[in-house]
Amino acid sequence: MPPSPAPIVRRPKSAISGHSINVCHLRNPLVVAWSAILPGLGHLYCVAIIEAVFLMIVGGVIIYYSHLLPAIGYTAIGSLAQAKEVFDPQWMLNLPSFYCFSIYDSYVKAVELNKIFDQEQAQYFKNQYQSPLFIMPGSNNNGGI
Amino acid sequence: MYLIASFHYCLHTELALAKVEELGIKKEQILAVPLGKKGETRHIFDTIHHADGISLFDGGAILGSVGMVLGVIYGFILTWGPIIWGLIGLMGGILLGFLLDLSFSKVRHSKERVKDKDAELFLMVQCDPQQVEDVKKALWDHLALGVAVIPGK
Repeated sequence: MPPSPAPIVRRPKSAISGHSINVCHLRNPLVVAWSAILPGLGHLYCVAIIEAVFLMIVGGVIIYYSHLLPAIGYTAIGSLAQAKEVFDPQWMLNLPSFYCFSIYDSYVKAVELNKIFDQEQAQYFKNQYQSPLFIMPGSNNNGGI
Repeated sequence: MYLIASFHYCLHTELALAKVEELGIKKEQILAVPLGKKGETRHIFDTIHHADGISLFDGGAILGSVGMVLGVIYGFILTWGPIIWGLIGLMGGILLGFLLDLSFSKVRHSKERVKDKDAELFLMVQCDPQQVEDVKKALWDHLALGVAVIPGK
């Protein structure tokens, strides 16, 4: 049996998307912790660059115009009436869905990257390191799995 | 001599093989056996070595965002203010979603659970007896889960 030709392309599969660079990496799905700090950081970790930049800019705008940070400050020192007053509800109501979306989406992205990586690496090893010339222990001939 | 080692799917595994090949072992002397994965396992969170995409996170994310919106809205009326009620809504929603997911999905992870430490890949390297120590060190240095040496021709 002739040896199977080794593929020239090193990475035939990778996560290809219009919004990011093409990658084949393992990513820890606990990335949600980054997204919980600031929407977009998790996407940055998953190298979805355009989404990360978009989420960070829009997140910053929403946080600024909703006066979230002063409200957090007032809440922290216990003046809750002032916190309610300083809030802009029209902007603030964008924030929950935005925040949860960035957490969930970065998690899904990380899981998908990991699955693609596993499949890709398994295929790579099958192509490269399963030569029919390998001599199994205990066999008398000069090859053949 | 043969060396058998188990690994995760990881970039370190490829580095280990590159190192072994640097030591003068030919590609024909290496056999890699990627294992298929057992399906039907569920975790609360996927980990870096095990991701099935059906973990119990989806329901929590959906109900978490719903709870957070409602918490913020009613927080403008309630005493504690929108921020605290938003956080309460988020936590409550995640908890509720997680419990619903758990009850609907009939988790069977006590028996079929795949641990992070389980091997996903086996390597078999055939080499001369004087190379065994070097190859073994290369494998251990690149996060092998276990290495065995068996005598052979």
